[in-house]
Amino acid sequence: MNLRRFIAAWKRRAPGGAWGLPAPRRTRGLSTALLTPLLALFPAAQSLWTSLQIHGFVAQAVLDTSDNRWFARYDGTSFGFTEVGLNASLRPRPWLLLAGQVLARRAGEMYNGTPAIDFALADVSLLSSPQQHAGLRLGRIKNPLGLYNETRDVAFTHPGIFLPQVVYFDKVRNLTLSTDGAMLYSETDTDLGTLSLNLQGG
Amino acid sequence: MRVFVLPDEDPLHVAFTKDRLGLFPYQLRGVWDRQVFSGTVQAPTRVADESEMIRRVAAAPGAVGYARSALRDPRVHTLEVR
Repeated sequence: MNLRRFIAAWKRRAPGGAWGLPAPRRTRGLSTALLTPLLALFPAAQSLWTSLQIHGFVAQAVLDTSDNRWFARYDGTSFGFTEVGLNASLRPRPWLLLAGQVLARRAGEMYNGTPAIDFALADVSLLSSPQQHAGLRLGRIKNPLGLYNETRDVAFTHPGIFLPQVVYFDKVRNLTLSTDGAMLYSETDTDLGTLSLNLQGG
Repeated sequence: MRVFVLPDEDPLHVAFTKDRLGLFPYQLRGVWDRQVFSGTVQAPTRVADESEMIRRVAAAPGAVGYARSALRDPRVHTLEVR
């Protein structure tokens, strides 16, 4: 099979000059200060909307194929793979995070670009310390499968444009993508690494 | 807790990220992007320079950031990292 693919995705990247350079000598000997306000109490006067964050992304692939129309609508060059997302999050209380994302996806014959709710959840923090945090998520939650399932549609969060089908099989995408339900999660820092436990149902 | 960061290309951000966190700035960004785009955290707030960093950290309760020099500002608590 003669298959050629030219793939270009619009990506957000770290500036090329920022990495590979040694840390500037003049900062070496100096101390770095961490700043924490003395007043850790949440003031009632602070506006609810100061914590609002909005993020989005657009990814457009260019595909060139002779015989394999996977993610392409026809042989030759096509623009059949597009991912557009917009999310918002709000932290009305220090222990409560509200977050949601709308995703529109065109993928060959599989998806036509109709916007859908990718996730919409409330995250309640139950325990938070420097070594451990735990909480409860309710709503539509992305499934933590493999390394990249939770952001499988966000091109700049994973290496490559297409994820390996052996783990992120697109035929069962709807089964594995997200759960409408609840998830208890915890993460603990240990000397060996981070221990992560998730209990999910829905 | 609100986290403030300097721009990816800022020398102090590069030094802090590499020496303290053991990551390149683009790797740190990748870590928070994967969480921001799955709805599990909010992204750090980017500030233009160290003076804005100190001002914003002082103004936000429970905020954390980093600066090159120790401060005399009574509104912030300084932890020295050598």
